[in-house]
Amino acid sequence: MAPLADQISFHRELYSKAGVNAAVEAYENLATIQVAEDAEHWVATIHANDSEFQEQVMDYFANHVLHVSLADRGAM
Amino acid sequence: MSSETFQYELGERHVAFTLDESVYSREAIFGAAYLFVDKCFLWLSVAGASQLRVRLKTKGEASPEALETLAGEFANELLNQSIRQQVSQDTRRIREYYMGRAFYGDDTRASIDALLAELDAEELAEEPLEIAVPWENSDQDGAVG
Repeated sequence: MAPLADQISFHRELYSKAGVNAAVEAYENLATIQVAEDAEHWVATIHANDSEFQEQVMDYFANHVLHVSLADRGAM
Repeated sequence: MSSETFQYELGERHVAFTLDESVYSREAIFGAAYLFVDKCFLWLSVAGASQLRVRLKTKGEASPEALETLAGEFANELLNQSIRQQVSQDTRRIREYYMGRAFYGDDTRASIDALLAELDAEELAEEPLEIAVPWENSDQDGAVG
């Protein structure tokens, strides 16, 4: 099933749950974020408080998750 | 990515490519991605067995040339990370050896102690009180002069 436009799927092999949680905490004032999970992914559903910034919030959210996930792995 | 060319797909504001983990290790890909987080939006996904998909999206409008440059810079950083990783693996044992000596080795201390003991033995043999006497130097100076 293709991801919805307001959903981002983070593969568990590449992204950490701590990264997802950190991003949720960082962006909870800008968007309503729900996190679900399937066998391989954490799936974040994001609704920006201001719909004009929906795409930006999703992009920055995903980068935040990646940054924390990589930092946790010591990839620097 | 083929063995000879760096293949990528260009979008409106993004460039995407698939990396073979038999060519670039996951650690090298992560290292490159980490360095690009502040330059653009990155998206990583698993594309198949031993294959990772990387998508780089610019933070503003970008020409196709700029996107190609971005992809090329990422590819260069991948190579850099791979070489760093290889050098790190190649020098691991010698680094561990020196770290071990620095923290746990007592060879240096032992050699210093042995040297001090040798000096003490010599001095004790010549001068029981180990007190410096100025006339010895004067005599030597006089002999030379």
